[in-house]
Amino acid sequence: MTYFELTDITFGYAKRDAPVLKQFSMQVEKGEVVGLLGQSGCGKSTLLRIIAGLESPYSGRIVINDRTLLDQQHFIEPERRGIGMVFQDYALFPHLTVGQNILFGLHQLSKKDRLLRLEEMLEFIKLQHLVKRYPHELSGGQQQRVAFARALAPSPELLLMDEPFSSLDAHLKQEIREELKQLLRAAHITCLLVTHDQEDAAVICDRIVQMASPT
Amino acid sequence: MFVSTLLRNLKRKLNGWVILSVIGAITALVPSLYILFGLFRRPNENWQQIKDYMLLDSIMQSMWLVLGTVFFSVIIGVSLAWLMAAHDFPLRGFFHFAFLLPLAIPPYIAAYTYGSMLSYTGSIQAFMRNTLGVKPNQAYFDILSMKGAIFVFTLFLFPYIYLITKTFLEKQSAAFIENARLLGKGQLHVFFRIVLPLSQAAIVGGASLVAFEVLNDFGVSKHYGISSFTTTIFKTWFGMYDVDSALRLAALLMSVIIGLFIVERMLRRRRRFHSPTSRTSPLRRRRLKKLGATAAVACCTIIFALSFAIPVIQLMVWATWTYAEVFNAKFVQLIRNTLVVSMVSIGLLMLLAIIVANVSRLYKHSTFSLAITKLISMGYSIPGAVLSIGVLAVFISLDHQLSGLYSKLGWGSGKLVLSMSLVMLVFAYVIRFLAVGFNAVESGFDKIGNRYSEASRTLGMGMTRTFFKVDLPLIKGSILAGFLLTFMEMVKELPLTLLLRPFNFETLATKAYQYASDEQIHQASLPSLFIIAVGTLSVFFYHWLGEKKSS
Repeated sequence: MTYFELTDITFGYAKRDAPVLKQFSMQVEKGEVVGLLGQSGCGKSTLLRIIAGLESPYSGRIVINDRTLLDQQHFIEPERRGIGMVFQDYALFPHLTVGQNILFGLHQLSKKDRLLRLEEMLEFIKLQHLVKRYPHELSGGQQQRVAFARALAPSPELLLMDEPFSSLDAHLKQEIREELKQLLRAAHITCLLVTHDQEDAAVICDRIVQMASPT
Repeated sequence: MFVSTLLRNLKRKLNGWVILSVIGAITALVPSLYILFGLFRRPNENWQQIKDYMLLDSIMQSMWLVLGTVFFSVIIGVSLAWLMAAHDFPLRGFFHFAFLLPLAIPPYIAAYTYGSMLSYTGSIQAFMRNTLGVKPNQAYFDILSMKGAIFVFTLFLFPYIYLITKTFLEKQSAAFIENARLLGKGQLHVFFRIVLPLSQAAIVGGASLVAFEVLNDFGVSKHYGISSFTTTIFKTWFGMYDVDSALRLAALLMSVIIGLFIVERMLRRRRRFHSPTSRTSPLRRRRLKKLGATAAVACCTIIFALSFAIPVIQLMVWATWTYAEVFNAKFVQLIRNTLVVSMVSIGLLMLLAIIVANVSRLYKHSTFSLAITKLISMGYSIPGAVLSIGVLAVFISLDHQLSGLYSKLGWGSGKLVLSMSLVMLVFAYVIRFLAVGFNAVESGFDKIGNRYSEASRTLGMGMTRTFFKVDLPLIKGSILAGFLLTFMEMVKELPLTLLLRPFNFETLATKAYQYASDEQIHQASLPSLFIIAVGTLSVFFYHWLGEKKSS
């Protein structure tokens, strides 16, 4: 039984333009870290947005863990999908501290559980000492880890990462890439990661899906 | 696409936010529609008379007003913009701010200030007679005329053209102008062959704002005895009690405005020059030599004096004469009325503006969001007098519809309840200034983008909770800006307030107007100064916002 399944996704931004994605399908097993590799403009980031529920495709089906997120009759809103996303520029809420950012997605837990989970996540990303800082006071690598923890905190069924290294300086990249690999393994999370860099994908992912450019 | 998918999408998009914005947009449209339908009703016997004796005249008068004002405002506005954008001279920093200040003075206040100053007993002629001992020809002081109205409108509306053109020149034109200079072209050549053609779109944009303001005016032409289109509408309604004809006139004026709108769009469409590269450097200013600098300072000083300093000082002098008489408990009540009615209106208006802005950004570039933003901006582009007649007509017919309900409630039959209450004025204010608040909120949303709210959605927050936890704290600055800008507009607004206020309900603006039209110009100074003070504060704020953005 497949854990996560995309079937025949077709999507275009405007009706008169050629579709960005045409009948795209893929499957992911539980616990797998899959890299989506392709040139810019091939629709890989769009695919993540569709999975998260931020875009609505013309047609297609998305099923996770036997739950239908999207088909002809259903569209589950992003807040009910249980899918976490790390944005390309992290999109950490600038008016909230690190701690508040991580707590943001935990509103369904009781207060005690929330704080426990926060502790757990901070320890996991090793940033306990920065809990009261604001995002703009952090380095790029630290911001990435906070964004990762924020997306992971509500225990999503699937984690999406959009170009996790594109906002980082080149000399930091290698170190952070290794770090992210450790974190992903430690979290036992099913993850779909988009990148245009062959090497990034090779280091982090269990499996690579090459996306063709639209014709 | 399958029907089921369509249904799915419809169900998805039909949330409280969308429903509220659609209701808001349609409500804002009702008065305008009501007016436009006036064109299709059968004209009554009055109409033939109006058509024969008043229509052509008022069209011509309005046209001359608009053409004259636009002509002189373009000359002053564009020359000043070029002077300020490309040259450096003493006191430039001061004038940079000072040329915004005329916007703080509503033209109707300037009109009666100048009217009284230049009259036979006014300060200027009295000074000439008593101190200089000359008896000037009265014809030189004939300000209560078309010429005078154009003079006043030009002085207080040119900043629109100046501001837009200057911003354009500073930001967009550096490469072309510097190239022309390097190619050895003289100053005049650069101005006529490069600056003017380049800034065409900016000038047309500013000029159309000026034209709308002139067409919107009621106070100036009334005080100066010009039978412009707007005053003719008022005359038909209140002088002849002919509602149908007034509506018909309003409909005609509205069609003209819509036509102007389309012409402006077409004039600008192909004339929008942008540098081919996205990298634009600011224009380097050239330091003026002695003679040039003196001339520049002199010109700027004269314009500033005429368009701000002189009328304000005159008003202050009058205020010292009359303030003991005017400033009493009634005046405090006046301020309270102004504050209460504008605060209630702004509260409702900003609420609607925020809802619509939030919806329109989520469905950005869709026909739906385009239509809804155009609809809610309608009220700002039609003249206040036209809008007020639409609102009044709608409310009176609403009262007729509800008369059954009123008599059931024991309020008596045939009563006008809604159209006698503040509800009508608040409703009109909201429609009129919705665009101002909306633009401020929209620019706030543009600045933060969609990524924060998208992040919040993927973290399990719905649209409403996302708004309160993420969007609202991030755009509160823009909301405040919208609040202030709307407040300034509302405090000085005249035709709507005059026409739609309940009996005996006075605001600062209507009281100033009432004093002025009762030949108690000196008494009008105190409420006028209050209005100007509010305007000046908003101009300060606007200036500060601009400085902050550019630094």
